[in-house]
Amino acid sequence: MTYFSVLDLEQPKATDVSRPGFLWDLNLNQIIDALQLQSPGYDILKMYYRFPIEEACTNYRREVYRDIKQSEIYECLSAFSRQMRGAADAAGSRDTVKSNLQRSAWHVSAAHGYCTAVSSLQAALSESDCRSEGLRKLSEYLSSYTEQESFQRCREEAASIQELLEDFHLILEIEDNKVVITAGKRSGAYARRLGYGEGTKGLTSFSGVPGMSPLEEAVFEAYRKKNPEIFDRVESFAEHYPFYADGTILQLEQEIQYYLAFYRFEMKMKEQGFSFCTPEKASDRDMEAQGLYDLALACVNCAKEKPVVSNDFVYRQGERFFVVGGPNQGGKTTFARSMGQLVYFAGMGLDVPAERARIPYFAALLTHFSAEESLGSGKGKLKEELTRLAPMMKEEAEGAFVIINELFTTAAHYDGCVMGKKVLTHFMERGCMGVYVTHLRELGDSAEGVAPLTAMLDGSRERKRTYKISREHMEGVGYAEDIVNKYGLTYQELHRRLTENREGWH
Amino acid sequence: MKVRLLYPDREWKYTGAYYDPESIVKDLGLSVLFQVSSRSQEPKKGTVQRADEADRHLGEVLKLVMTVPLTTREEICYRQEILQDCMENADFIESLYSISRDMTFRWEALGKQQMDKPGSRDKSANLLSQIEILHLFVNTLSRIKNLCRRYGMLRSRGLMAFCHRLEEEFGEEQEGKIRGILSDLIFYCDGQEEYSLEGSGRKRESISRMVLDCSVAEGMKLGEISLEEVSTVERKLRRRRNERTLRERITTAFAQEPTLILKNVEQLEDLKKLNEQVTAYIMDSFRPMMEELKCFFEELYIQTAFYQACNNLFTRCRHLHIPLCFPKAGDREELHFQGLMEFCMAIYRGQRPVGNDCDGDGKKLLVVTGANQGGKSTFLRSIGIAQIMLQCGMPVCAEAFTSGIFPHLFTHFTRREDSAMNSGRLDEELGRIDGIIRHLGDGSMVLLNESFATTTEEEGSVIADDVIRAMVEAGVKVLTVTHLLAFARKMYERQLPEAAFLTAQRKEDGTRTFKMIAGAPELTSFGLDLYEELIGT
Repeated sequence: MTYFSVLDLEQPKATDVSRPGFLWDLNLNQIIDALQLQSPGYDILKMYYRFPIEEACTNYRREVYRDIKQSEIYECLSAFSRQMRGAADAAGSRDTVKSNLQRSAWHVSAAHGYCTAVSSLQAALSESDCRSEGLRKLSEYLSSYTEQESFQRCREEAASIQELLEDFHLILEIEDNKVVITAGKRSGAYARRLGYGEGTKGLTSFSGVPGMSPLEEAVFEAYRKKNPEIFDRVESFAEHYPFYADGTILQLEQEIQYYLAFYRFEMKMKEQGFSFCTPEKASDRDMEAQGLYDLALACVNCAKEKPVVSNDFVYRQGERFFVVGGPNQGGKTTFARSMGQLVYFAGMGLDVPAERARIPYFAALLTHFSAEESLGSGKGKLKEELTRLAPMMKEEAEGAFVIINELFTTAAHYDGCVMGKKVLTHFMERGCMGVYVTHLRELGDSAEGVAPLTAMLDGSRERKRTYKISREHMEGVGYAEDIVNKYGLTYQELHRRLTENREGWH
Repeated sequence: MKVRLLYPDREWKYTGAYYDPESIVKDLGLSVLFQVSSRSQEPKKGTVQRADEADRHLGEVLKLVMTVPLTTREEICYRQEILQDCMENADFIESLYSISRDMTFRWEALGKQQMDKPGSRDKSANLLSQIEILHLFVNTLSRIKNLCRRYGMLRSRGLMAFCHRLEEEFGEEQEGKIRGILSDLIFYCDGQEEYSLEGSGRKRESISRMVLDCSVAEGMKLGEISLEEVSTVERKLRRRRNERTLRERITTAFAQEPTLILKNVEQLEDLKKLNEQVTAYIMDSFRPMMEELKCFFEELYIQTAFYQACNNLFTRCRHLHIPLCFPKAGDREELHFQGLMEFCMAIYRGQRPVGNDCDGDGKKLLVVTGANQGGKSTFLRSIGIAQIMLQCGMPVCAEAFTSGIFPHLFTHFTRREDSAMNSGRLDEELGRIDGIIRHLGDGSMVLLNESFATTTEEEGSVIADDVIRAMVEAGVKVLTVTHLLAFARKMYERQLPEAAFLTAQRKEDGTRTFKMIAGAPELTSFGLDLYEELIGT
């Protein structure tokens, strides 16, 4: 059978699964961890670690994701995963118990869950409005699979046994150590006396272990001696249908988690007021975004109910690199990270954290962030930086997006400028685009194709940080904080404070 | 079930306290009240009360309740009414408090802490203590209900509603139902060590009877067990288990339905687990009720403590012949009183101090100046204490007292003796003033005693003028005792209609009466008098 996947057009090579270093620099690992939480029980990390992918594949995924954002398609895939998890759990329970009767009963549940999941997905997809190649192929595959006779027989038998079992109750009448067992149903009179309503569950499984407890074993044995039919039927199903699941379907179940997790995450963040958009395709060297923000920071701040500052940018005609300067803690690094996240998610065929974005295809994403305050001497740090930079520069970086954060901080000012300029020129010559965060003002106009940006302070006397990045040349701004009156207790100041306060009193 | 003895519409919660309550307690000297209220003031005849007999809970609660102001006239009336009732029926509140205290101790002994974190002990011990705690709850509620029935003469809305709620929410039917279920569970309490002895034939008093409906859909496990019947059957004949086996064997063989006699240790261990699960399930049904009662009893222990603490204080006052009256919560412009005494000092010294009169209606600023040792600080404190007591519903130590409600009450007391002049202290003092400014709100009263003394009089006067003027203009009521005469004169000369000036009375012959009278601030604070008195001319 030919290879089929909703993630890829061709079978990816085993070597493709790597963990690119930029994941950490861009805090994407935090986002991916948050995504993983959206699909518990599945391993989605592997799928998110694979980057970059072919341009055709990016487009293939983007179409699939567009389909999944239709609520009926999302719902049916989500329900499918849920049912498949249920079936897998039942199979898991089967593998933990010893008694043949119990194993068989779990096997019936697992097979029943699987068959139901597959049939419902097939029915739902064939009626839905899938546009993407990926989901259309999935729908076709399911149709031909469910038409097979072996599948249908297995499904019917499992369903009919499951139905019997669901209606089957044992009544235990226990007095001291004597137990009388009958079949039937009672009304739960005592539970009602306790104030438990109709809907409330009774005691869940007895004795807390998955296998049969000695008491249960004795109960089933005593009952089966006189009423063997239903138990025999359960055991014979397990013998007839030892294997029921299809490998491709199991693989597809994993793959759709890639989309479902992201969609759930996107919905959750949207509820909190964060924007997402599908990036528009752009031709070469044409890139812009509005309302772009750092998604990892958003996740963190969301919990603290802190707002996140968003930024707009556009690479004008002929511009390749932004050089971002400004005060420390002014939002430069955050801005650079958000650009990287934009490139990553766009390349993965997913939505991006912005209000609007236009972005071309990049064949690679390269980042260089200074390592955590290194313990060594200044010289050691520069050496360490250059050691990490060297492979990036040797790499065939044609058409990559490059993010450099605070390079050469420990080098002499002049040296830093010279090296910085060389690095910029190197990447631009190879048709790369990118962001370069630096404290070296001179780099802002060091070469053609470089555009200077600055992290802004507000107009107030305290020079508060706004975390806005704006197209302004770095000026030598003073950040001195001026406390004229420590406690603000002059009459004028008090008068102002109290007048302001009073508005809040009433 | 709600207690609602402190507020008409909610339970106690330590929130909305005064800013910096510790300073208020210290500045006004309130600690003595907490100490006195911790002891019963009517010791049994012929016995001397020892220090360790003090019930510290009372003082602690009084402190918490006093530092959270009531904010409306209704709330104040509500508490005043109950206090009045408690003064007239001191036995009632004493019994209610002692039931509640008693119960709390027994509860703690049974594992009150474990209620919050189940699973911290072994399961069956935990379950047993749950059952015992429920017993304790039910019995305590019964006791309180009976107590209430004996006191038909209660008149306050709060106490009447409290008694009424008990009858409504814990009626005979409800009580009977809980007691019924508890008696069904006797088998569990009785049979705790039963099976662990490997069926050695130990005697038992009671046995369990259960009918269960079990679903088997989940992998042939008995799941979703619903209870049809649970009860404890008295065992009339005490027999050894192995004596029964022959008859049981016959029963089993001839039974129509599949029947099982559990014999081996594992099966019996299992049955014991099932018993435990069923018991836990039943106790689970009481969880919301127990949660509610837990809050009820915790609240009751705190709320009754407040009234008991007050009762102890009032008894002491009666012994000392200190007059008390319920103050009137008026408008914020109002402030007048007759015979106001410094309560804490009276209690502490055990004698009646001098009473002061004042009519400060319509005034926003009260400046007290005058002789040292003339009773200025005492006067300021007496107002502060009365204000605090008014705002927690207590009676005050006066013939009459009317004032507005000021939920934002601040004290800033500096003692002249520790007003060494150094910039560190000024920094600290102004830091505290800044803290007060930040926390001013609707209904603020600030008591300043000898503030701004950490710098020269000249500088201090300027700062005081700025700060106090700004506060008064913002609608804050400021009561200040000051030695900053330049400031006082300047204020006086402005002739503000909302400012009043008092001074410590001094008779012609120079003796002090410790009374405050209206009068312009003088240019000297009579330190010379003191000098004369102590050192001579």
